[in-house]
Amino acid sequence: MALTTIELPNCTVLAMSNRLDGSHTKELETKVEELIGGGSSRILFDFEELDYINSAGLRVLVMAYQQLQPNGGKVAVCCARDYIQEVFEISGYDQLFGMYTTRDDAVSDF
Amino acid sequence: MNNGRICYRLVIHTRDEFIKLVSAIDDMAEKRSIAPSVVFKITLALDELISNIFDYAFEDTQEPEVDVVVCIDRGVFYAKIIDSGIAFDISKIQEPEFDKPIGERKKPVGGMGVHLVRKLMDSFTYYRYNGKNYVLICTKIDPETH
Repeated sequence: MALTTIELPNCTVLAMSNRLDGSHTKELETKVEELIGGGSSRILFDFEELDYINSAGLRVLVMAYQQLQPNGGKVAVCCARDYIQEVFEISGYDQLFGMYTTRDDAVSDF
Repeated sequence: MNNGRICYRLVIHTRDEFIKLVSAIDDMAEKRSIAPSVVFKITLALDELISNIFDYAFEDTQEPEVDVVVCIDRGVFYAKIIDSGIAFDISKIQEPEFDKPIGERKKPVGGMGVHLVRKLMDSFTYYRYNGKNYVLICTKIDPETH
């Protein structure tokens, strides 16, 4: 997995590629904790280049939501492949996060 | 579509070795022209089940070992996952508390991996035999989705 952080005026974009599983989950969790600890309250997970995610990966997004949402922050996901979108729907997590088809749509809604 | 039977058997000793199974699934998928969405759900189901085994089954075991057989035969994918760890019926894991907001659940993400397996596979069975845990999963591979 390659993890890229992009700071935009109204949110932080975390773009990841290939597979989010195994040790990569810990890497993402560390990054998210670092961002939240540094004051980021709006995080967009960009899945444009992501081929795979498991429940451990989903857990990191839920963790971010649980820390940010009570304080007025927001977590959103964009650009997920259809089959990854389906996993969000099966888990019900699509009801927690804003789910967007493009990064522009997500960013303009923050 | 080539309907001939194709099977792989792998023995996994650590969670990181799951990547060997990913390669085997990718190889089967290429030989049978299986759609990426189907490869994804097969890989995810195996990942969740095998991760759970390495999380809980081997507390008292010095040499963890998970024996996995994966097959595609006449448009059906099936897998048998065997471990000699602690007896545990994974198919009985409770569903996540979908009736409660996430903040009020005892375990916000507990049971989600097994929930995904139930939803992604057509069948999901557990049995204990000769001191080993057996999990069987199977799903139809619809040629329409290729």
